[in-house]
Amino acid sequence: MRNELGAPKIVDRSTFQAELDALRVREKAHTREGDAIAAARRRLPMVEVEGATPLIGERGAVTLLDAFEGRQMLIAYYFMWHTGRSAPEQCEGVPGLHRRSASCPIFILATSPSPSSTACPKAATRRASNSRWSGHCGRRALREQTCFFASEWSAIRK
Amino acid sequence: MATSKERDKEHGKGHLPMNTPPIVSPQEWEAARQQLLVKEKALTRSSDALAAERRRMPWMPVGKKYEFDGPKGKVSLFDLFEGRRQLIIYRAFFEPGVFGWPDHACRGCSLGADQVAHLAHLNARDTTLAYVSRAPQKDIERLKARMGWKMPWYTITDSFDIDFGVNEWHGHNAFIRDGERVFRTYFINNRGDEAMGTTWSYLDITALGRQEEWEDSPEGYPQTPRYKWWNWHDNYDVEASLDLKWVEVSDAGEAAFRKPDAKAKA
Repeated sequence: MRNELGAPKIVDRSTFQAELDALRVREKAHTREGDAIAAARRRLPMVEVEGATPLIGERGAVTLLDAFEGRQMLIAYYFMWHTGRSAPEQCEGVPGLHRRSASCPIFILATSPSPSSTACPKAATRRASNSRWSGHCGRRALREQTCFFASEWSAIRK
Repeated sequence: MATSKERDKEHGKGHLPMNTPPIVSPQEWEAARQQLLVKEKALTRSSDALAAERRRMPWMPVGKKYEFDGPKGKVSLFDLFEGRRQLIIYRAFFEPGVFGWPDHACRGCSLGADQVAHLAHLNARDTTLAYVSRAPQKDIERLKARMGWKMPWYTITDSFDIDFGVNEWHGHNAFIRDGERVFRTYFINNRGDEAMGTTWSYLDITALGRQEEWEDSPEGYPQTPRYKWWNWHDNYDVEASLDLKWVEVSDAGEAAFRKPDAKAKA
């Protein structure tokens, strides 16, 4: 098998450890860069969306605000599912596999009942084609960010 | 389920006590996001490059005959592969003296165990995940039942933990086998362990990677087209060959996705 794999180098424990230690420097730098980007995400501005946006849950009608279940933050993942179609047909005819990853807003309750009533036009609640929130200004500001990990894994790799 | 308003009343919550970022228009927000997206993409590429480097690590032969206790008795390191080509072993702390014993494993290890993805996908890439601890099998069996964990979990009986850097702290060791010869190919610990749990994070520390065609791997490494090998976790065994309908669907999806014009029309 090793021949078929282009014969990876076989080394003793100390050489292996030295190689591991060398690569570990890059590993750690990568971890730090991930931390730095997460810090930048925490500094992104917010867009206000309609907390009363209707959703249908297991027990019937709820609002987007209800989906927080009382917590301060909400991560919403848009799972592509076409009503009435069987499981094998779920991706048929649409780029479903990929579009599902295009919409993963994160919402967070904001400080005051209406911190900026002017900064929330209707369009604020409908970003591009990747979200089905609609309506107009609510009484609460919600923070919206995109869940980059989910959107990038399958979506942006070229 | 308490509503958000009820909880806010109960807990006095709902308003953030800190200085929050500015509230902006969708256009401004999108612009800020696009700016950060450049860094996000660079990090993803950097992660791919790092995984490519891992695949170029030399291999360390494992000559010693390690022995573990499993649900059916004594097993060797080779047995832990369960016939697959690669093996990832996580050392979880569950033994007398560890906080939580005997009811629980270490909290951090338990959090990690809770985020292990369905293993059918990893297994489909010829890779097995196993947990190992010092606790006897009867305790491991009880713990797995209590916590709803399904991964194979063995008892360390010898110097395996010392020899593979996991006697004091947790860590993931990656192995590959060539026939019955076993090699250590990588080791992840500390904060590296935080990211483990997804099918992708596991595959990215293995010698063979995700085994997809886009990856920068040494020549001769097994690779198949992306998306095509994906299946439902309950369907890998059922489906003997590639479902042509899925091939068609994923091709159409990818084509539409990679053309912004087509996406806009979709």
